[in-house]
Amino acid sequence: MADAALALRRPAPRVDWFWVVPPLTVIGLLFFYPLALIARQAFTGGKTGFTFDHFASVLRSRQFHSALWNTIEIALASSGGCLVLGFVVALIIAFVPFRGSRDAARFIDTFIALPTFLMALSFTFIYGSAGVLNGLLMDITGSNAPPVDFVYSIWGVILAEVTVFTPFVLRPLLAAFSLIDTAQIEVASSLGAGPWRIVRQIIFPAALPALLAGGSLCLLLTVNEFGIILFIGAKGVITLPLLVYDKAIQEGDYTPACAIAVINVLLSLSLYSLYRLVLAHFGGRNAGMV
Amino acid sequence: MTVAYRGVTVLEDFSLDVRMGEIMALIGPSGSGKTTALRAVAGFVQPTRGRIKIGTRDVTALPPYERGIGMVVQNYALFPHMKVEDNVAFGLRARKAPRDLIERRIDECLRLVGMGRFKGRYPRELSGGQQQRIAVARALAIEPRVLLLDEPLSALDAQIRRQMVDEIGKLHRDLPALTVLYVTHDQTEALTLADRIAIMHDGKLSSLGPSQSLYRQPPNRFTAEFLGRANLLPIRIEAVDRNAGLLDARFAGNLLKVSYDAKAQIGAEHLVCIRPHALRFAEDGARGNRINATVEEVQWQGDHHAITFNCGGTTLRLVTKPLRERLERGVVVDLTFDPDDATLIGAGG
Amino acid sequence: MLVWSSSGRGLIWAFLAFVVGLVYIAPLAIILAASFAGQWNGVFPSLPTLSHYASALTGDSGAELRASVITGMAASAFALTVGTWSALALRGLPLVPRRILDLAFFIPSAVPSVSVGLGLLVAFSRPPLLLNGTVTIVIIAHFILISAFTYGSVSAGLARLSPDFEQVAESLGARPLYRLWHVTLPMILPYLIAAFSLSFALSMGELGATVMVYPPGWSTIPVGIFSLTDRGDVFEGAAMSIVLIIITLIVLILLSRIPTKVAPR
Repeated sequence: MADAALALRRPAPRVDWFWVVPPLTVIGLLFFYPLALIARQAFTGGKTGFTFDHFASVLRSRQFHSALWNTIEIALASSGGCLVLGFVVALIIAFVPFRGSRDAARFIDTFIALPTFLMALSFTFIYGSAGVLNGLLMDITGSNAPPVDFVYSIWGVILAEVTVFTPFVLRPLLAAFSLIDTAQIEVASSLGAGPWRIVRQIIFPAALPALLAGGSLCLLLTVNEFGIILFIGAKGVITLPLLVYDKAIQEGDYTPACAIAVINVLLSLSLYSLYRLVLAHFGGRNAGMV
Repeated sequence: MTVAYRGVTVLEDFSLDVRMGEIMALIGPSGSGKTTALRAVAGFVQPTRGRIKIGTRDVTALPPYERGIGMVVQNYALFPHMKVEDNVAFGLRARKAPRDLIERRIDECLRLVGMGRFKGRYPRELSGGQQQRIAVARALAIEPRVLLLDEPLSALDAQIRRQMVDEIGKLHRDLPALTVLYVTHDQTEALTLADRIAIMHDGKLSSLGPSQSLYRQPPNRFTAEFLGRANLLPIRIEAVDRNAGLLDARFAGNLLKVSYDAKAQIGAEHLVCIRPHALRFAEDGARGNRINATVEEVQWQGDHHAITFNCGGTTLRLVTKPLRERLERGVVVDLTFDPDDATLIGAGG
Repeated sequence: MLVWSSSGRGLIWAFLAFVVGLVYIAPLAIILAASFAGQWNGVFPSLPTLSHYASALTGDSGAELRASVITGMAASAFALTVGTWSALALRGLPLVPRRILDLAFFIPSAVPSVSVGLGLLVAFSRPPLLLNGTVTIVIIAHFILISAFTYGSVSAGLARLSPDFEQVAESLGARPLYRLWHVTLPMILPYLIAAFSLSFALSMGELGATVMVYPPGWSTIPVGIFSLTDRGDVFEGAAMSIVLIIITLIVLILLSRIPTKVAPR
């Protein structure tokens, strides 16, 4: 048996790279290439010559400022609401369990697969001027004008988004809670800690990674959300995606649409990086989807 | 061969010659490199240096499916979506063997492992031991020249394990031309089944030899301590009598006679290895080796007593049939052993 | 276990029921009620009717139904193929390239759907690749948006597959493609089905990119619902919503019935 000092290498590596090329080409052609063209349109306006002018005029417009501000405000408020609602519901399901609590969790989970605008649609039925709540209140108070009309404002959007995106906080939280050793809680109780203290000092720290991951995911999803804004159609509540749609389809003004889209995409990608950083920092124990 | 990953050498200058038809056990603590060696033979790990030959064929550059090996792993890895017969037939079908040959081999191999009745079942319907038997049948179906077993019994209960050790032994007798490389951390499996044992330590081969010789005359300290339990007595050689085949060794004030070893030199310090069951209580007035020791601990373990002694700072362990009378701590007794049962080990180990 | 008194627990459960009921059940129930309503003044609907469903299943709305299902199936099939291919291909790569490419496959879902639609419009409005105004561009838009989910689901499934199975298969004589078809894919079948189901559900509900690119004659259910509600036909919109949910449920249930013979981990 000759012991030749050969460094033998597996012949595999080159073959592996080969298999990556086709799907990469597909995604590249259908996603990255169009994205690059959007950027090009935003920087050239369809003519030759690289310029920031189109961005400048967009950044100066009041419409854009309002849309940007709305987008950020809605994202922050909705994500905050999701965190609160998700935390409370997860807390109850995990730590004050009842028969069928798993089914309740799974029921809420299925909402992830439903279109977001359905919630907006149902809101108009419930909270709209001709809706159930107003009908009830008008009957009770006997007034003629519908008292509740928050639905056609930014609050309607926020409420709808909280409803729709809470499952994205609920799922990782439930997963994190299932990993908490119940013995810890029992010992704490036996040592005299009341429920609030237990929540503050034992449960909340354990939930923090899931909260941060879920929260950053919600930020991303709410910034990207389009259907709810469109359906609620509240005057003055325009977000970046809706602005892009208006400019491109309603007004046929492609260059500003591209510029706004570039800004929108940059915002989304930063939030996505934040989300991935949070996941990487805490280790991927959160059941994130993207 | 040598195997290194990212700067860590897992196997260093490892050379092993396995004879046809023998069962060679590769044992060692975790991290010793035994699994790496097995996987290198299988082809899942490429050596950074060296070659692997099966028979006269150099297989180093060949992929696993061309080497003529069969593999059985710890968690069976039966394909859950296939019936037992399809699992066993998998290798033959992958090599496009003719249908009647496949049918014949399925029946043959299932009969070999005693699982003929379970042809149409799914793996999830079988117990651990049954699944492992199917895994063996599957590996044998392709008529490999070498069978590689990677801790095949570790996932099974102790009782099933004992049964399976017997069955593997029987299989080896039924297939005398099959060479078997058996990786395990369980010494009993190795001692029972293997013709030869290779003991590995820190990526190197520590010792190699027939099971009985390695056990009775361990060549180094690691082997002595790893294969069974060992009493290691620090001694100094005082006299060498080659004709009688004996050495005079001084241990903690006692002069002992141990069997001759070529590397013994007068004045040198060595370790002598004596297995716990080779120590016994000395009878009054009898001649031969005598060690004066104090009882430290007496443990009854069902079919034997294990007694720990202290002699001049060295702990000695003795195993004996269950004692009739109680033995108290602190009692001083004389122990004896046969010179043949004592092996000299270099102080380096 | 947090709250010990049964009255405390009762209170909390009541609170949960109220919240879940208000936030999740009531909206669905309302839409269901509205889909049957002939008229809704005041608190409760009146004049129950099936006419909304009739119009939802025929004519323009019926065509939208067909378009949605076909788009969903095609986009999901395409996404499953590309996602599985990518997941398998990335398995064999060293760590750093794998992380980077992993990101590349996930980014399409991080980007707003409207921008995806805009990009496709801008990119494919000119020859040589003129897709603007065709059905294909809608399918492509959906494909882009859901591909990350199939990739993620299949990657997760592959990660949980013990390498022992493929290695033993290889030692038995199976070449790479044989192994892929007979061992790897059957064993991740539950994940493939889950990926397809999720993709289909997402495609059925997709709105942002679709409104940017859909050609006349190929509007999907969400687009149809928006047009209806925009011009005041809210009840028919509600009926279409229920139809959307039911069709999605039916497809998902049918998919879950595919026998896999592999216990999902």
